[in-house]
Amino acid sequence: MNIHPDLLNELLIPISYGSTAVIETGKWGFQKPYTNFMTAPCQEACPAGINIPEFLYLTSEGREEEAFFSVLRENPLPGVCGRACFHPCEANCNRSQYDESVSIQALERYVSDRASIEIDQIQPIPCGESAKSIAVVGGGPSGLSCAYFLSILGHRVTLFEAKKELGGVLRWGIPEYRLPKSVLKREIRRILSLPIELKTGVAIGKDVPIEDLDRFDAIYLSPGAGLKVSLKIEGEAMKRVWKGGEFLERINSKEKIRLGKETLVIGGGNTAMDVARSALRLGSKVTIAYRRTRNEMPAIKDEIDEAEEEGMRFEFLVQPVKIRQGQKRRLAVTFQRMKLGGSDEGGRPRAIPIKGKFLTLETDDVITAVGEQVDLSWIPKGFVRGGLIGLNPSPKVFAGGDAVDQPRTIATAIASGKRAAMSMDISLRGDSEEAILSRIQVGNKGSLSMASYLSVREGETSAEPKGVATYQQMNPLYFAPSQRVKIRKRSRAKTLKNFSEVNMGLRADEARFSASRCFSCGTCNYCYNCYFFCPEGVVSLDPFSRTRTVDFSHCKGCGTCAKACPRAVVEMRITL
Amino acid sequence: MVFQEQQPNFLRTGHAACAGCGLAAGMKLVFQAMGHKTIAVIVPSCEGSIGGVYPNTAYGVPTFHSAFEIAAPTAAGIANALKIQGKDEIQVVAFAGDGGTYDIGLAALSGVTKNNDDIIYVCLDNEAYMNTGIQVSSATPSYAWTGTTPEGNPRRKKNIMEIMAAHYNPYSATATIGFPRDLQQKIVKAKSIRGTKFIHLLVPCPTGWRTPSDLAPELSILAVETNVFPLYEVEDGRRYTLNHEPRSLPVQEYLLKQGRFKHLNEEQIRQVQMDVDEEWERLKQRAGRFASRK
Repeated sequence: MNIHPDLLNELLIPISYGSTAVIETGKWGFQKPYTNFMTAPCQEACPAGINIPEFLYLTSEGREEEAFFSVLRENPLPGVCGRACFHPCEANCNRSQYDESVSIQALERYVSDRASIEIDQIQPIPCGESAKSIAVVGGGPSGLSCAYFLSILGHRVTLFEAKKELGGVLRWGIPEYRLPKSVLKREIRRILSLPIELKTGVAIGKDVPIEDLDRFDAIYLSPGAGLKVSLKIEGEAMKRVWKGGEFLERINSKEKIRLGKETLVIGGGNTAMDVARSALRLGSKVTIAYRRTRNEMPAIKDEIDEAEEEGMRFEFLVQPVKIRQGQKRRLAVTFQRMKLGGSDEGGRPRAIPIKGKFLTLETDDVITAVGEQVDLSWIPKGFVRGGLIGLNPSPKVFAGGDAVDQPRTIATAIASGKRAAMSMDISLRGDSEEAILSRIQVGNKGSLSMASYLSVREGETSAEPKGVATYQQMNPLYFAPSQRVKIRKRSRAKTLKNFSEVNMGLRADEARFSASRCFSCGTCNYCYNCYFFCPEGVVSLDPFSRTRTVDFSHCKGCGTCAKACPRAVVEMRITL
Repeated sequence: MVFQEQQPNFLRTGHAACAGCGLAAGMKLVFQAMGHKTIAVIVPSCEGSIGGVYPNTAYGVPTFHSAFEIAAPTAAGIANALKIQGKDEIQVVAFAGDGGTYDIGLAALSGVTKNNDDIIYVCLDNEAYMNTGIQVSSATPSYAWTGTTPEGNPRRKKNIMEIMAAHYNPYSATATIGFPRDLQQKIVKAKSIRGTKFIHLLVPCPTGWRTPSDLAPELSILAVETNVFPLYEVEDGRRYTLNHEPRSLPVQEYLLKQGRFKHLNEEQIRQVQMDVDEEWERLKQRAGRFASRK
C-alpha cells in the first residue's frame, strides 16, 4: 500500500497544514477602523494654507525636495516667509500646549534654502482653450503671488510694477539683516521662470492710464501701502526728522546715510523695528518710543526680543506732541505721558493721556514709523470705499494686498493674491465660486488650498477635511517631551557692524529633529503605531503611495489602532 | 541597527485571540524579528489555544505544540537536533506564558539554561493564567484581582529576571509591545548570541486585566513610564543596561486604568509605589555600576 509520507507522520502526531486565514474573524466585531484626516491648527492659521504636517513629515524623512514642492504648491515665497513671516502657525501649534511649539518657520526657510537651484524651474499646467490674458498691477508679495498662481493655472499674465525692480515691501521695506536680497532675488527668479510678461517701471495711472487695461480679460490690483503717514505734530518737517518708509527705502537702495550719536524711533510696529534695528547698525544709540506698552506692540515678538538683545532701549506710554530745536544742534522731542485704559474696538487697551505729565528727550535724529497708507488716487472712484478697495469691485476687477480690508502682513498679502487667482480662474471658467471655495477651504480661518483646487478643477471629488484637530484629541503618551532647537545667531559684536543676516537657520540634523517633533495633528505620518499594535496584523501602510489599508474580513474591531493613533487619524465606526 | 518596519507576518490572520490581545501583538512582533528561518515551540496556554483548530494553524513557521511545563526542553531538543543536522541557520524560539515559566515550567527552564542550550525563550507575561479563566500565578502583581484572588493578590510578583540572571546565561531582556522597535531589536540581538536567551515580554491582556479592548499598547507604555516594568537587558547575568529613560509617572496612571486594580485603597497604592521605587533604585544602581561596560 502506498501511503503519503505526510499522512504517515500524522499517524504519530496530528499536523495542521492549513491556514487560519480561511476563518473570517472579522465577523466577531461590530466596529471597524476608518481613516479620517483633519486639518492641523497650524495649517488653518497659515494664511497661505501651506500643508504644514505634510512638509514637516517629508522633512523629517529627509525627503527635502518633496517637502519644498509641498510648500511651493501653496506659497510662492517660502524663503521670504521662512524669514519674515509673523508665523501664526507656531502660535497655534498644538505642541505648544504640551512643551514647545514646532519650529515651523525655521523649517520653511530650511527646505527653501536647501532646495537646489535646478528645481527652481516650475511648470505651468496648460489649460488650453480656457487660457485668458490677465493684468496684475503691483509687484509686491500679493501681485507676485497672484501672477504665480494664475500662471500655474495656465493663464497669460502681464505683471506691472511702478518701480524698476519687483518685490515691493520685500525689496524696499524689509532690511537686509532680516531678509537678504539674494534670497528675494532667487524667489522672484523662480516665479519669473513661469511665462509671465514683465513690465517694470510702468506706473498704472501715471505712465499708462488704467483704462488701457480694459484689453485684458481680468485685472488684479495690489497697490502696496507706500504713502507715509505723518504724525501731524509741530516740527515734523524739520531737518533730521525722517519718515520710516523713506529711511528704509534709502537703506535698501544702498544709499549712504549718516545718523547722529542718538536716534529716537517713534512707533511700535514692524516698520519701527526695522527702522530702529537698521539705525543701530548705522552706529547710533536707539530708543523706541511707543504710546502703549511692550505687550501691545504690533511688531512680531521675536523682532522685539532680538532688538532688545541688540541693545535697543524702549520708552513706553509716551506720545509725541512737539519736536523743536534742542541744545547743540540737537532735537528736543516733547512727549505726553500716557496710561492704559479700557479696550478699543480691536480689543487692544486704549492709550489715554495723563493730564499735565510730559517728558522731553534730546536726540540727534528722529525717525517716525507710525504706519503707511495706500495711494488710491489713480483707482476709479467707484472701486474705493472707506480708503480701501473691495475684493471684487467689478466683475473683471479683483484686488488684494494692502489695499483691501485685511491685516497688512506678507502672508496675508500672498494669501489674497492666491485667493484672487482662484476667484479669477473660477469666474473666467464660469464655475460657481461658492461651491468650489467651500471644498478647498483649509479649516475655518479663510485659507485656501491650491492642491485641493487643482484636484477639484480636474473634476475629482476630493475636498479639504472639515474638522480641525485639537490638542485634546492627541495622545501625548506617544510623544517624548523635547525642546525646540535654539536657532544659531551671529554674535552681537558682529551683527551690529553690518546688515548681514542675523539668524543662521537650521543645520540638517537640527532640521530633521525639529520636523520630527511635529505631532502631525490629524494627518497620518506613518509612525507605524497602528501597524505595530494591531494584534491581527491586518493593517498595512504605504508611505510612498500614502495609503493605509485594513483587511476588514479579519479585523475584530478591537479599536487598538484608533486608540494608539497619536494624531487622531483613525476613527472607529459601527458597521452592521 | 535600522530595522525595516513592514516585514512578512508569520502570525496569520484568523487566529482566535480576543479582540485587542496584547499577546497576539507581541508574538507577531517577535515572529517578524525572527524571520522565516525559525522553528517555534508553543505550549498549552493562550498561544496554544489561539493558534487555530486542526487542520488549520495561525503560525506561519513550523511550530511544535508541546506540553505545558516543557517549552524550554522541547526547544532545546529541537535545537540540538538541528545542530546535529548542521542546520545552524535555523533558530528555535520557545513561547510560554507566565504560568508555564514562573510556576510550572521553572525547573525545566532552569535546567535548559544551566546547559546553555541554544534557544530563545520568550515568556509572554500577561500576569495570570488567562487561558483557563484568570487564575493567579506567581507573575500576578500585588493586590491584583484574579478569579482566585477576589480580594486582591496578597503576594508580590516574582522577579523572574533575577532568577534568570542567577544562571549567568548570556542574554536576558525585558521588552513590551508598547516599545515595538526596542522589542524587535532585542530579538535580533538575541538571535546573534549563542546559548539560552530569555526575553521577558509583558503583554497586557484586556480580558484578564479588565480593561477596554483598545488599551493594550497604552498600558504597556504606562507600565514602562511608571517604572513598574523597566526596559533593560542583562548580559552574562552581570552586565545590566537600561534601554529607556522613563518619565517616572506615578503608578496610579498605570493602575487606575485597569479593572483588576480598581479596588485598591490609597495605602495599597502607596505600597505599590514604594515597591516600584525601591526596585527601580536597585536596578539603576546595578546598571550604573556596569554601565561603562556595555
